[in-house]
Amino acid sequence: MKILLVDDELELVSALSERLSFRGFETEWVTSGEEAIEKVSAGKFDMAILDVKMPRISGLELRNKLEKICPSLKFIFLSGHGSEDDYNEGSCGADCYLIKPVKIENLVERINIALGL
Amino acid sequence: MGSSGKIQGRDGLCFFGKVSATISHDIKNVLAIINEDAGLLQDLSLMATQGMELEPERLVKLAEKIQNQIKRGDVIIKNMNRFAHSVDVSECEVNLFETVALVIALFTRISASKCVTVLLKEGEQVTTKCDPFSAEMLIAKCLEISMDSSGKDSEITVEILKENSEKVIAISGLKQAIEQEKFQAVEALSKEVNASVKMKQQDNVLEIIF
Repeated sequence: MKILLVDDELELVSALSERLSFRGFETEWVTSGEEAIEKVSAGKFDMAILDVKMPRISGLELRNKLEKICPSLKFIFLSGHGSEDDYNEGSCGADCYLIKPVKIENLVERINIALGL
Repeated sequence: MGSSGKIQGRDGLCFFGKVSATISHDIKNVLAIINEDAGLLQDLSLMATQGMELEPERLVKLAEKIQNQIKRGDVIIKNMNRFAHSVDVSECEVNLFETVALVIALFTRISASKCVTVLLKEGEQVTTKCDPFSAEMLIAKCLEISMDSSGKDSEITVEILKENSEKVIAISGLKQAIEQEKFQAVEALSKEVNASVKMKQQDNVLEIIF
């Protein structure tokens, strides 16, 4: 089971990736939508954890692009605040929508549920 | 607390809301990073109790990262406080350089989302008497339409000048023509601030004149 983390905050995504790896998940991280598209095009991922608001390609837009490349990919959204529209749009197409800061235990639980572990 | 009274209430509230939402988003990101770095410290400490070697340099780096995020959060909150206090008086002597710098800082996330870099040129400290909140709103709106005009992966430069009796904020680097409707909106707003806006087509420069 391989997870791709995407967030424009480098420190956040790198620390979260390391913490998930301590919990037995194989993870990779990138800081932009373009890099995420490259990663998913090049290798098999089971899940993508996306920040909703990113420059250039938003998390919601990125989900649509990644889904086309890998239709079986599961999604979890992380957001700072987000509007109600973001929540509705994000939650309808994702396995879960979590608000930052996230408790790692909650995130792990959501990942396990989404991946059927 | 006074209010500007010059700009229409709803527009002013929308602007205040937009800036507040951006600030809260930035603070959430800072908190999320501190949360992950502190969590990483906790993970590493726990693993150390189970026999894993813990490098002191790693701890020092993580502590530095947390301190840097606290500094980042402090700057965001200072800017938020300055912005919030800009509605305290309806007229006062406003330093245009500092006000533009504040608006650029508050709009960092918005400019990043539009993939535009906003540069403030070093310049003289020019002041003018006006409503600080309305001036911020006018500058922000002009910056936004300038960013839209310059397009993705571009750079716009802001310069504060004194031309005779006029105090000018010049935004250069525009490419596409500004939509008439958007220009009319900033033109109307500028009148309420006792300023004016001018598009210098030949130079691709938008000027706010006080």
